[in-house]
Amino acid sequence: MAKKVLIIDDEPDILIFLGTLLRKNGYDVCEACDGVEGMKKVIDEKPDLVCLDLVMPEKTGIKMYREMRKDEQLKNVPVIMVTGFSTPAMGYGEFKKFIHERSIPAPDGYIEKPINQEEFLKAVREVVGA
Amino acid sequence: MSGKQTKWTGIFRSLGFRIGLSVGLILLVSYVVFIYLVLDIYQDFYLRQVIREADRFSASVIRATRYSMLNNDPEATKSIVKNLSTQEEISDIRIYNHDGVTKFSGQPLEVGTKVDKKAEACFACHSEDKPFNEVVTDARTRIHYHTGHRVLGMITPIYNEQSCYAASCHAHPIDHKVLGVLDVGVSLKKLDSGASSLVKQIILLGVGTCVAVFFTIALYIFFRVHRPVNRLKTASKKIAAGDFSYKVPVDSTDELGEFARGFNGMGEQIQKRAQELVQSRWQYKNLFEQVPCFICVIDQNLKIVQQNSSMRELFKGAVGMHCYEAFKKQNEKCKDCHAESTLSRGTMSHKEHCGLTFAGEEASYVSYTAPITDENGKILYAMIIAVDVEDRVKLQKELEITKEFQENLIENSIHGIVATDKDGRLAIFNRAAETLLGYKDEEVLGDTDLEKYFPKPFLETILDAYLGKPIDNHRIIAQETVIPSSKGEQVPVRFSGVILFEKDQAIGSVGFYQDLRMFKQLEREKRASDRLAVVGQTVAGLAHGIKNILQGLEGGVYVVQTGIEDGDQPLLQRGWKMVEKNIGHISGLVKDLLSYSKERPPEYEAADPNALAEEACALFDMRAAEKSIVIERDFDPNVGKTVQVFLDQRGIHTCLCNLIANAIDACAIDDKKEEHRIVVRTKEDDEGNPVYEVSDNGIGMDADTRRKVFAGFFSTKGSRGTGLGLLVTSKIVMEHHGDISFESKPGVGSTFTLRLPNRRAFEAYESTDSSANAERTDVFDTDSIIDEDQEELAAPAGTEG
Repeated sequence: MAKKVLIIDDEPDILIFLGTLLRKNGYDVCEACDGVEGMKKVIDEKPDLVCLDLVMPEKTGIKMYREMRKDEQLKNVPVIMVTGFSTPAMGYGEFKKFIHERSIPAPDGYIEKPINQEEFLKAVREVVGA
Repeated sequence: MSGKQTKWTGIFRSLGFRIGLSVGLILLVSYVVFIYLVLDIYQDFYLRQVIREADRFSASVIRATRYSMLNNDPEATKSIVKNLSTQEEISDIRIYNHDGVTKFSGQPLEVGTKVDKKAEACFACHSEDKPFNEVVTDARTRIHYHTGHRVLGMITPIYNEQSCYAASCHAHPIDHKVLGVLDVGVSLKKLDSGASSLVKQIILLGVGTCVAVFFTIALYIFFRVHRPVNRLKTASKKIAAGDFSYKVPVDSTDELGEFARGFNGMGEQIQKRAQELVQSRWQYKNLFEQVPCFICVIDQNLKIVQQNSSMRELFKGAVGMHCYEAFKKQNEKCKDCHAESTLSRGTMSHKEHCGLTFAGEEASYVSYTAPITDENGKILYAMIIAVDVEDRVKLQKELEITKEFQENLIENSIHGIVATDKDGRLAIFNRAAETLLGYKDEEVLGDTDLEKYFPKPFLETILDAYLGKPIDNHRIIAQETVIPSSKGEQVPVRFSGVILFEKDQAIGSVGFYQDLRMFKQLEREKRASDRLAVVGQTVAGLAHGIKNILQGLEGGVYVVQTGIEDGDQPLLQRGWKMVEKNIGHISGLVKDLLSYSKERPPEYEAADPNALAEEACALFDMRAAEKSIVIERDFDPNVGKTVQVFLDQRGIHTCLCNLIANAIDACAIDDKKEEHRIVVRTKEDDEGNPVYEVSDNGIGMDADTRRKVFAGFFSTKGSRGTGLGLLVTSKIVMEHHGDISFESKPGVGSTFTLRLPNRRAFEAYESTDSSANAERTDVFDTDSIIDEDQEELAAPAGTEG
C-alpha cells in the first residue's frame, strides 16, 4: 500500500509541483494550503508523512508543528519541514532554536527551497520508505 | 591705725574742732587775765581802805593817850592801850619811846623791850644811820604774817608839841621832834578771806561763762560749719568714689549753703560729663573691640601694647608680642614692613598682606597704619588696623577661576559662540566660530556690522531689544539656517540665540552655532549607507524572491515535462501557467527593484494631483473589476488650485499604483465580506498641502503586520509579492518631503495617507534641507525586520511591505 504524504503549503505552485513529483514516485498525496486546513487533514487523512511549509498565513508551520507535537495522537506523525526563507529570523536555524527552547522534539527532516527533486525524494524515503 | 584713732584723728583735724579750740583758748586766756586784773584792783582798793582805817585808828590812839601822857600817868595810858588793843581787828598796839623801848603794849610782856632799828617796822624811817627827824608816811606801813595770817603794821610818830616840852614835868627837851612811835597792827585776815572768796566766785563765774560761751560757739560751729563741711567732705568722697548722683543737703543760705548748692551743681555737671565720658569711652571701646577688623597698637619695638577681640581670637596675639609674630607667626619683622615708616616719620600707609591665623590657615588682610602721638607731637605708637579681605580674595580667586573656566569653556566649545556687548559691539568670538565663519577674532572683535555673524531674524530681535522695543521672544532655539562664511560659503548651522537683559535693559546678545556641515555630510552618508543596507537586504530578499520564482519555474517545468511525458493535457496547461506566472513575477520584481535602487533624480514640476490620481485608478479599474472590487474616486476639485503643487509625477504615480494594488490584494484575499471597494481620495490639509488617501475594506492588518509594513522585503503575499512596494512608496514620499501614514484594523480594512507639501512648503524644505526626514525615521525603521517578536514568525496575508 502506497504511503500517504500530506503536503501543506500556501503556494499553489509548490502543491502542484510536489504533488506531481510524489504521485509520479508512487505516493498517495493529499494537499492543504494553510495550517488550519493542514491540521484538519492530518486528523482526517492520517498521513504517513507531513511536508510542512514553515511560513504560511492563518496558521504558520511552526504553530502547527507545535500543536502536533503536543497532541498525543499526532505527536508521532513524521514531519519534514520545508522553508524558503534564508533570513535568520525566519530560517530553519531559528526554528530549531525555537523548538529547542520549548523542549519540542526536532522534525524528522528538513528541506530548503528551491526544492531539489532528488533531495526531496531522498528525505521522504528516509522517513517513510519507498 | 585703728578705727577709733582714725576717728579721733579726724576730729582733731576737723575745721570745727580747730576753730572751737582756738576760740576756747582765746576765751580762756581772756578770762584768766580778766580775773587777775579784777582781783588786783580789788586787793589794792581794800588795802588802801585798811591803811586809811589804820591811820585813823593810830591818830585816835594818840589822841586817846595824850592826856594821860601829858599827865604822865602811865597807868592810864597803859589801860587805854590795853583796852584799844582788844578790838577785833586790832592785832597789837605798841608805843615806843625815842630810844626804841616799848613803853606801852597790848601785850604786857613786850613792855620794856627795845626794838632793833633794823627791824622791819623801823627800817622805813631809820635807814642806815640816818638821823630820824620825821616819819615818811607813805612808807610807814608794812605787811607781815602773824599767827598764820597777814597783818598790816602802821608806824605813827608822836611829835614833840609845845604842851609837852612846856609841861611842868619837862620830860622832853624841845629839840626832840619825835618823842616816840605808835605801832599799830591791823589784821588782814578778813580782807584775805574776802579776797579769796571773791576769787573763787569770779573764777567760778568766769569758768561758767567761758564754758557757756565755748559751747555756744562750739554748737554754732558744729551746726553751721562742721556739719556742712562734713557733708561736703562726704559728698566729695562720694563723687571721688564715682557716686555722682549724691546730693549735699542744703539747709542754709550762707556761703557754705551756696557752696553746697554749687557743689551739687558741680556734681551734676560731673555726672553728666562722666556719663558722656563713659558713654563715649564705651562707644570707643565697643568700636575698638567689635569693629570687624583686627586692631592693635604697637610701640617703637613693634610690640603689641593693645589689641581688640578680633585680633585676640583669630591671631591669638598677646600684649608684648611682636606684631609679625602675631600676624605672620614669624620671628623677624616683615621685609616690606610699613609700620616702621609710620613709627619713624608718622606717615599713614596701607598694604595687603597674607598672614597666618592661629589655626594655621592663611588669612588675607589689608593693613592700615596710623601714628599715635603725645601732646608734643612725638610719635609714641602706631595703630594697625587690618581689614579681613579673605572673602574678597577668595571671591576674586573664584571669580578668576570661574572667568578662566568660562573663557576656556567658550573658547573650547565645539559650537561657535558669538556675543555682543551692551554697545552692540562684538565681544566674544570663540575658536569654533573662527573655524565656522572663517574670521579671526582679532579682526572681528569690536565690529558693529552684526549682519555678517547673525541670521537676519535674530539680528532684528537684537535691534529691537537695543532700541527698547517690546519683543515677543528674546531667544531663538535650535533653528537650522545658513550663515555666510568669510569666503562666501553658505555654512549650514543650527543656531540658538538669546538677548541678555539686566533689569529689562538689553546688555548684550549671544549666538550659538552648531556646525551642521559634518552632520549634513553624515546625513548624506547615512542616507547612502541606508541605501546600501537596503541593497544588502534587497540582495537577501531578492535571493529569496528568486528562489521562490525559481521554485515555481522548476515546478512548472517539471509539471510541463510530466504532462508531456504522460500526455496529460490539463497537467501540461497547469505547468505552463506556472512558468508564465513566475516569469511575470521576475518582471515585477526587477521593476520594483529598479524603482527603488535607481538613483533617478526626481523631476519636480507643477502637477494636478487629481489628474494623477485618476490616471492610477483607471489603470487598475479592470483588474479590480475582475475581482469584483470597485474603485471609487473622491477628489477635491480645489486641490492644487489655491496653492500650486510641485512634484515628481512619475514617482507619485508609482506610489498611488502601489497603494491601489495593495488595496486590491487586501480585498481579494478577504472572504469575510461580500462587497469590496477601494476609495481613492484627494484633499487639502489645513496648511493647503495635497493629501492622497487610499482606503479599502479588505482584510486589514494586525499589530505585528502594522509594525513591519514598511520593512523591505516584508510581504504577506508569499511569492506573489516582492516586498518592495511600500518601501518604494515611502522612498518617493520622503524625497518629496512628505509623509506617509496608515490606519488599519484586522477584518475592517486599511487606509494609507500620503501628505505631500505644496509648492511653497516644498521650496522652503528644499532651501533649508529640513531635518524632517530624521523625524520620520520611525516610519521607515527597517531594523524592525529583524527585532520583532519571534513568537509569531508568520503574518497574515494581504499586505506587501
